[in-house]
Formats: sequence, C-alpha cells, structure tokens
Amino acid sequence: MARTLREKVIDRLLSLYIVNRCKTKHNMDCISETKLQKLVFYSERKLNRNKYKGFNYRFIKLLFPTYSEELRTDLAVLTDHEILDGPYFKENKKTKMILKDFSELFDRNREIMDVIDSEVDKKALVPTQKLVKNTKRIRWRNGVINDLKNGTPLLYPIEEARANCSFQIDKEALEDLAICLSPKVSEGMEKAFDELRRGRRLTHAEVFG
Amino acid sequence: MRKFSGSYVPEYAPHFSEQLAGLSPDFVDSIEQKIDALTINPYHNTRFMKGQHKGKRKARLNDSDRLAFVICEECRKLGHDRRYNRCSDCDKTPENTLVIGYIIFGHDYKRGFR
Repeated sequence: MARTLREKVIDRLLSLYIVNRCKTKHNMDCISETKLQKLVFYSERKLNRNKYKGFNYRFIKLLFPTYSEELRTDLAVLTDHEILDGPYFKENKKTKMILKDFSELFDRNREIMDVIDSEVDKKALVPTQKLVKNTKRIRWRNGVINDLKNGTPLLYPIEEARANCSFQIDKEALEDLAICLSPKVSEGMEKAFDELRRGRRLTHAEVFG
Repeated sequence: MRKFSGSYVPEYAPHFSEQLAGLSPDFVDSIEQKIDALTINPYHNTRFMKGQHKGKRKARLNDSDRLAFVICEECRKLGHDRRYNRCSDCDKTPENTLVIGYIIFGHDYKRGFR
C-alpha cells in the first residue's frame, strides 16, 4: 500500500533529522546514501520492535543489503529541490530552517526521537563497509539477511491500529510541513518571489483587468 | 484605478497572474474578494509560513488552497526585508503595500506530493 501524505511528510522530516543529527552530534560533514539507508533501516526496525510508528519505509534485501526505493525517491526529491545537498547528503540553509521551525514536533514526539537518536548515535560513526557487513550478518528467521534472495521484503511500516505510539503532528503543522517539503510549491514560490525580489510587479488592474 | 475596501494596496508577482489564467472565473472572483478583504486587515486569519518560506504569510482561500503574500510594513518592522524577502525596490515601496506572490494549490502539496 502506498504511503499517505502524512506518512511521506513524516518520513522526509525524520530523514532530514538524521542528516542533521549526524552533523550536530557526530560532526559528520556529509553522509553517503548507503549509510543513510542503514541508519533509517536500523531506526525503523527498532521503532517497529517497540511498536512505535515513526518511519514508514518499506525495505527489501539488496546488495548492501537493505534498501528502500521510497527512501531513495524521497532523498532524490529533497536534493533536486535543494532542501538537502547531495549526492553525499549534507544539510543546507533550507534544511536547517525547516528543522528549526518544526523542532517543536521533535519535543512532542520524544519517545520516537529517543529511539532514532540512540540508533543513529550507535551507528553513525561506524565505517559504512563495516555497517554493511554487520547488517548482512543480522539473523533473519533460520539464517542471516545475506542469505535471502534479492528483493525479499525485510521491513514495512506498522499499522496505526497496532502501534503503541505514533508520530504526532496536528493538521496545521502537517499542512505547513507539506508545503515546505513539496517540490512543486517550493519551485513556484521561488519563481514568484524571485520576480518580486527583482522588482517585477503588476498592479491590480494588470492582473484582474 | 480600482477602489479597495481597505487601506492596503496589493501588488502582484507576474507568476501569480499566470496562475490565475488557468482558473475558473468563479474562483478568480473569490480570490479577488479575498484580496479585497486582506486590504482591510491582512493580519486577520493569516499566519506566517515556516521553513524556507519564512517571512511570508498565508491566507486561506478554501479548504485546501492558500495565498502566499507579504505585508511590507511588517516585513520591514521584523527585519524580514533583510533576512528573507530582499526586494530590490523595497525603498520605493509604500508601507501599506501587500505583495501578493503565489497561490499554493492543495493538489500541489497534497496529491502532487510524489
């Protein structure tokens, strides 16, 4: 089932949060996609074990060995629209502005953020190759992840009804955040306000006749 | 020159005009009415936007569509002119100007959220 708008918005916000956590707490200037895929995977896995609904990505077994196409798409959208710098992910001015303005959401969802913080803090500084190797060795049913066929589903979002706790976001904040993280709105706003910045303006009569 | 109900005078981004071109006449009328209401009190029922859109306000047009704009007097008072908006002709723009920038369509930030 496709993610809802609410789930997508939360996923993108939490992904930006992880990039920021790596910089502020661990002084990592940038982070590779492989490492970010692992950090999100471990965070979501731990959240799901606690029945906390935070991240909503679906992960499958692939070469490195956990991968989410939805996470890749989200990161591509965020970098395409300069909300995040890439290809090695790095926060920029827009990332910081968004995280600062919505920091109240992190305070309100402390239980979920504590789980993400602990997973990121444990794994952020582990070299990517070692992290990949460790992930391959994770026990999975009768074997380890590395034994699974490529494409095997590994992790999927828990349903709201089964969760002990879900990421709380009110209607207003969800709208504000969706506007900030929407590529189309960002593009349009940039275009319109750039025209204004350059002094190009129309009168009421020119617009409405 | 058109008479507005209030003392604020709207000016528009050319892109806003392009956005209007694709809309139904009824919706365009309702947007014009909303802008007229903003000329009376642009602070009423409008909120600051967040993140990279800081320094702009948004007003509700209907259930999902919003209007992004700037109140010049407020922009200068709060220092948004230097930090966020940076209009090149700020010094020539009267205090009572409302700069109407962009219609945020619900389908762009809801359904169009790929």
